[in-house]
Amino acid sequence: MIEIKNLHAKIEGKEILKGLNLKVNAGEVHAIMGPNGAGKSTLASILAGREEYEITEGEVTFEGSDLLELSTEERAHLGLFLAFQYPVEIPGVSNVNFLRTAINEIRDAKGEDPISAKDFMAMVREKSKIVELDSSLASRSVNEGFSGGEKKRNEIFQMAMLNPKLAVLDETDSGLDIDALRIVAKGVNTLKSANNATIVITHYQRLLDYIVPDFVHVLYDGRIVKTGNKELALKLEEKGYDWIKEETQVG
Amino acid sequence: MEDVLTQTKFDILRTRLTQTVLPLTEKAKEKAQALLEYSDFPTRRNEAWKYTNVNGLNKLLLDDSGSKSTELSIISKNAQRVHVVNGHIAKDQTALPGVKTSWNLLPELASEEPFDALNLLYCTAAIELNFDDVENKTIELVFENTCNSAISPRLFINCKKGAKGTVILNFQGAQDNASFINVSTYVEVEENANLSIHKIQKNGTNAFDLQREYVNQADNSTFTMNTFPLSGRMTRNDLIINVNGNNCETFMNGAYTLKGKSHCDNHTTVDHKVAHCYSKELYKGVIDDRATNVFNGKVFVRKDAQKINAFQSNANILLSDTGTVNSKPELEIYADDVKCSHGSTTGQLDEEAVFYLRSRGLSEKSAKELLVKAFLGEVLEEVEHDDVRSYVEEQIELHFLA
Repeated sequence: MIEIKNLHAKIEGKEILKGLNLKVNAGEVHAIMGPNGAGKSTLASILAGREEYEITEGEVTFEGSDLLELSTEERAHLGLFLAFQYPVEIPGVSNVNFLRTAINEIRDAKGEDPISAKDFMAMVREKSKIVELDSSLASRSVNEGFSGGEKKRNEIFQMAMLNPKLAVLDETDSGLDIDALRIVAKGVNTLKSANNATIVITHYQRLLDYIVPDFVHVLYDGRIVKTGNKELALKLEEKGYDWIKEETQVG
Repeated sequence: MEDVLTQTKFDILRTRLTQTVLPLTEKAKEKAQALLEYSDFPTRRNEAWKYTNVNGLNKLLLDDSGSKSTELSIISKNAQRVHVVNGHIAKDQTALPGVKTSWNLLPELASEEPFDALNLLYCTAAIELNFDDVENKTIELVFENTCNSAISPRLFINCKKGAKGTVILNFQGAQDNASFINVSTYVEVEENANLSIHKIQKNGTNAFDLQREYVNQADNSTFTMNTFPLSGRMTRNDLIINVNGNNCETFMNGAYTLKGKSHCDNHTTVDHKVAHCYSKELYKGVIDDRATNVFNGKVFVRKDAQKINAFQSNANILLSDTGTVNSKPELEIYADDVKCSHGSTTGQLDEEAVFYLRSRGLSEKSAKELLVKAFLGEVLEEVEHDDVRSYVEEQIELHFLA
């Protein structure tokens, strides 16, 4: 699905990623955890194609294409989806209107015909149920006046509508109460299949009680320094990140 | 007084214009001539024209050359229509109720504006519209400009006591038409009347379009002016509304889309002379390439005009690094029990929003288009006439295709 090799990146002259390696196969859920400033959000931003970052070394292959050569929208056309840590409010642009444009541009890139209005609306009704999103929210302006929980549910609703191959969830649990967390996680689990994959970036283990990862990676100082199963997440929750830091320095 | 020997820019312009064939009283003619003789083109020193330079008028040929057909767009199929072609009322039209296209004598000049005097002396069509019942009919005046001509329509719109009316002023120019369009519109909104004017300025890319609306509102009247400068080399609109009556409502909306080297200047004045009135103004636009935009909105609240609610807002989005906006909202309040606000913003499209939309698969172009449509949508929501709204929406889409 995606393979990241020796990725180095900097922003404003400061090196953030220092040789990151990660391989994700179809059907897998990977969690990336790590202390503040380790480079978690940088990784998400680079995968989605934010232009502020300078890639100094390394490569990323996604579905056989050189991801770093593609524009943000081309990545989306290939099936990459980023759930934003801070979803943007866009007054005056309705959720459904923009999603319909997005779906049609993705279909157009694949050489498919545009979706019919009827099929589209049926899809909106079906997918909004997955995250228990009120259909009135679906037709309102994108994220405008949404609560923190509604914004995150809207991200997963969009993910459901776009049906990506690889979803990167950037701190999707931040700012969520326990009920919203459960709904968001249920949405992600419902969308999981043998053909897609998910990268969950999180600070806390809490989300991983609901979205159970196949692999847990610890990102520290721009590199993945430890990989394990979900037990690793529990250990991190219990002991914090200091032992990782020590281990890394010793190593 | 000694003769002034130097030739003014107005003198030069006048040598290329044809005197009006419409009847004018000697007094009217003299007054207009006197004003023009002692005026010259406005310069930067003139505050109201600080950012708008009309010297290019004297480079226009104005010889009826360059005939090219327009892709004429009629805005409202259900409206009664009057066609004005290259400034002159088309001959083979059936008379419409409430529309007078020639009358005995043009009234004399009511303003101190040289371009209004020019309009009177070189008037090419005088049209009077009268609304006298509550039915709210729509009259569309279609100004089709196919040649490089001097076009001076003079319009009188009267909405009588208790009547309702809608006027569409639809200016359509051939693609690179280079006309000089100079329009004066006098509007009377009588007691309890409700009048809406929608003005579409889709001029040729080399056309100069200078327009003035002088509006008087009587007690309990409602007046709406929606202005859509869509294309043209230079567009200047002066909207002057005297709210002379109590309990009036006044709405002014504008949306503009500028690109290339076009220049657009909207000057508005609302003069609240008496109490208990409401006015609301919203002008928004996008500026691309090397285009320049000027907005100047004045709201006066006179000493005895208590309990006035007046709101004004102008917002601009620059789509290029080379576009320019000069925006000046002005409030002058002499009463002490009023609620007024004004504001002006100029910025770029929200880059975060563009990125968000692109990350969902929208191309950069469609992301920007969607955001611009949403931005201008706030103005279009204010437009009650469905035909006008959908026409302008369509034009905004075409603006992005080109």
